[in-house]
Amino acid sequence: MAENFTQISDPSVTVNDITVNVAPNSVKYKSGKGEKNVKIQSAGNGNVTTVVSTDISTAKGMVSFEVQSTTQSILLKEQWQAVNGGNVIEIDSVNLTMTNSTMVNDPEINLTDDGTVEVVFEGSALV
Amino acid sequence: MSKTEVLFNLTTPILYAAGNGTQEEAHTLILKEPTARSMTDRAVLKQQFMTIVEWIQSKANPDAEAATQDVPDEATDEEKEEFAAAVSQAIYMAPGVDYKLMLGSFRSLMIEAKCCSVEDERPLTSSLWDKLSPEDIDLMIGQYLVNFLLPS
Repeated sequence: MAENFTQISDPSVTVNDITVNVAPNSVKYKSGKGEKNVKIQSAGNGNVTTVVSTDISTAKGMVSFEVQSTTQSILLKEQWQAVNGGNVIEIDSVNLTMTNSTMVNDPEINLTDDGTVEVVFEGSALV
Repeated sequence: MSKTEVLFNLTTPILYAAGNGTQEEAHTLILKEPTARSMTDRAVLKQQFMTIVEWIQSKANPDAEAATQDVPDEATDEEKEEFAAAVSQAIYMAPGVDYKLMLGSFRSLMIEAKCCSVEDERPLTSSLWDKLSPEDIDLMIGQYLVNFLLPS
């Protein structure tokens, strides 16, 4: 019998214990395990072995989402930008937390009918 | 003179954003006296509380009766704590108590009216409320009623 699975498309995001109202379908994250490089070693006679290394410079967590351009979200954005490494982001639907987070982008604020603000945080690997 | 704040020890600690980018375990909450800003929620809670006290007093349990009579001002913190635990239980047993209504008003008082803070640092948010254990919420309601909404 076929099993049914549900796509996660409506996650709950909290920043510093405050639930953020995000624009639909805008939440993305990278867990920060680091990118891996696989190299081949030759053992001769056509035999090969692999060597795996992790590019530690990419081992950082990332969470991004968009918020509508409301007074509240713009105020929150100002607070998030003010603390370098001082934010804690939680994505409840996947039960992941990113600590020591900094809002790294300086987003354009679209004060239009359907304007959104993209927010990108980087910090420790998500756990 | 009555207290304006009461320390509540959580039986199940919760993680909160400590403000420096890390999460720390919160072991205590500070419950604060309601103000006129939250009169409606206070009134709902007090109405329900009166029903609970009346039920406790009408029970044939002499200990509970004695505790009720002792509770006003001269009661010690331990006596208040005991009575608060009895109230937490009675919420489920006393006929006429609307737990859903009571919980809604209590949540609003704690979050919207900012009558609660975590480790005296940060206001309790809805996301932190969701992390609290149901047992702690019941005990908090009992403590809050006994310390701030006692019938006088």
